Amino acid sequence: MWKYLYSIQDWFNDFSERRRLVRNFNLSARQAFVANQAPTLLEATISIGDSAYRHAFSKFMAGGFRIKALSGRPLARHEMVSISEVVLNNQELVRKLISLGWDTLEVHDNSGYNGIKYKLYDYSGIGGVLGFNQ
Amino acid sequence: MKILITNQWLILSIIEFAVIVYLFVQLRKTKRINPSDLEILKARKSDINMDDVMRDMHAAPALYKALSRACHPDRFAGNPLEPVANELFQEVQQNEHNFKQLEFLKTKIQEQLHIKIKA
Repeated sequence: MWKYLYSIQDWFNDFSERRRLVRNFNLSARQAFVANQAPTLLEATISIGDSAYRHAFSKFMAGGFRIKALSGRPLARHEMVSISEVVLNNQELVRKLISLGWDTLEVHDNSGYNGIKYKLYDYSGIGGVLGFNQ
Repeated sequence: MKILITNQWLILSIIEFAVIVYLFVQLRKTKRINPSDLEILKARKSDINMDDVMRDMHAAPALYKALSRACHPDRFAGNPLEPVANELFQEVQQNEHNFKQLEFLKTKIQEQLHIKIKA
């Protein structure tokens, strides 16, 4: 019984931690935009994600970390790649995203129809913990 | 007789309470973390500064461009500083998206290659 109680407690902790991370990201993005350091306003949201990218810690129906760029025009592929590369090259951030249940990184703009998505696990550098990819 | 029955229930309830306390203490002592999950759990507790991430996203590309131009090995061809420039150029390339590291490299390049970088 205790196991189930702990799992409920963990679920709420994870949920608040996920919300906190998204909120911090949005706050920093907004501050950078207002201070004229960033040319586009970025906004992170939680999406469903890609079921093909799931791993052992994936959250049900909430595995996507979506970054939306409020650019006002369709972004070129290299612009979306440069945004996603910053996240993917930050291994600490990728690991945190994975541990909090995200499995997909999605980047898209607010006016175009194209976007890109990445399997976070491939960029985590975690070896032997999840195991099933070996 | 009545007193005896009351005592029996009292003793039973004390034993039950002791068992509950024992189980609770054992539960608190029990490790809920598997050693294999430590890496993931450490990552969960790590604190990430999103301002740094934003700087990596927006300020790092310009600085990277300036540094990679400044210490490009072609600029130092035939110069005794060429191997140093080569090494620094590789370091800059490795830290393309790391603003903090690029700022550190900027001072290093200015000191070692004796050049001024406007970025």
